[in-house]
Amino acid sequence: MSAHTRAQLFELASGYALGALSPEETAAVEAALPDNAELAAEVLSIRETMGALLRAEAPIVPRAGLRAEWTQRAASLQRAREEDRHSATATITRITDVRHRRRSVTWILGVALAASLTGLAVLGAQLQKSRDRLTVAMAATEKRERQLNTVLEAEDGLLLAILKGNVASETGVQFFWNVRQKRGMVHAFHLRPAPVGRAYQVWLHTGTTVTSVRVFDSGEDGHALIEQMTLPDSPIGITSVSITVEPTGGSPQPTTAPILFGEMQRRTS
Amino acid sequence: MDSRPLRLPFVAFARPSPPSGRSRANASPVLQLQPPTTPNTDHDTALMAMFAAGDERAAAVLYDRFAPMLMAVAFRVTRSRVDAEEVVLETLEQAWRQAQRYEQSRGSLDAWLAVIARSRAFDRMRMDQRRTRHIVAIEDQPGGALLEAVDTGATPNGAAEASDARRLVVQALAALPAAQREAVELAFYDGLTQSEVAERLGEPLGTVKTRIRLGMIKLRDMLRPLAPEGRS
Repeated sequence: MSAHTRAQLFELASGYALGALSPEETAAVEAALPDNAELAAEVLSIRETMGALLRAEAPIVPRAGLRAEWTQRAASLQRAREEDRHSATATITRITDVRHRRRSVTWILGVALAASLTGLAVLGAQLQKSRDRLTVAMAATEKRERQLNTVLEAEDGLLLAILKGNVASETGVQFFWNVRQKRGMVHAFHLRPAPVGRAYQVWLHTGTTVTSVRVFDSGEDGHALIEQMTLPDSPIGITSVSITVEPTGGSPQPTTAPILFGEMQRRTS
Repeated sequence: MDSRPLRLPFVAFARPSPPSGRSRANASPVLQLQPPTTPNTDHDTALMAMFAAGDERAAAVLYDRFAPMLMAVAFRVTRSRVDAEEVVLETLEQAWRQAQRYEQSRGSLDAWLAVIARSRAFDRMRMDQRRTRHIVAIEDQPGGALLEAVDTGATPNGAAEASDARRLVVQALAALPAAQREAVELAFYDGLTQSEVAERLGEPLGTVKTRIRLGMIKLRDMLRPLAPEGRS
């Protein structure tokens, strides 16, 4: 429930369309928009006015090569989308296969039950474990998808760093930063758990300073999805992200060379 | 009578690269190219549906229709052709990613793209830490007759249409009370937050919020002929 009255929200509409509100005001408007058609129409009408102001600029013909760059980029984006789609389909197929196997195991188990109550008890326990593991894995996957969707839904102000470095070639870490919502997320995969007594620490770099935003460790599966970071109020000046191996609990400043490093870049949602 | 300079719209003096002279023979056989800002809601809806489906011809058509307008918006903020071109690509990429969410009921396609480009351009300037705040006043430009000084390399239709729109925008901004115009310009053209505008002007935040709101509402009323339903 919004703490703002209807009139207050309407007073914020112009500032929201302009992107000129504080984060708190922006959040209040965004929370109200889905259920307030009048407010949405007001914001839309101001955006149309902005469009009219912007369209009044004298058009400028881009250089000749830009069109080819765009068509190549569009083709590349489409290829990436199709690869993602195939990957997702493969994942669903694997889950379906697991479910199918589980059903098959259940049927076989029924036959075994008739033959041996003892065997049933053993197999039943194994089946339960398998089902529990599958349930946990699916819940984790769904949670991961929800978290990523939340961050990636940001229309503006989403920063991204892809970290690579002196670790296994398949290791990858993505750093997301939703500036507007002041939320960040680290998504690590194929990252072996840190050695005993050590942890991974994430750092933001400007040209002259290094700031810690989170200490974490990956799971046994080499995966980590980390939120709740200590992020600066503004991304201005921050150029890159790195990860070092530090003592458990972290360090005030990096004590080892980065094992992963990535440039900060804007990401369109 | 307010004598303060009217700053809008910006007019590019830099001579752009000549048109590519490319053939459009490869454009979609279904989508006929339109003049850059001609509203055509059915066409836009169909175009975005094809774009969302990953049709590369739609991507090319979208570029041909809107790239000059997006270049102008981006150049207005970045004052750099290189940055502006990158903003155009980022804008089109964001549009590609969000094409499935685009609905005509959520606004005209050109306004939607223009607002994205403005946002991307300000993001770029903030990230680069070289944001320029000296948007040049029209009266400060050589000769002062900027409305006649446009040289953009734009298509004749697009340039003429933008020129008419520009005159209307100039008139609308001139009709605003000076205090409202100043606040709106800082928020809209310089990308300042309301708090930053208040700080810049040395005015209470509440006063600035009211000025921006009233200013934008007046502009909305005065620029209604440029809205999709007002264009023809």
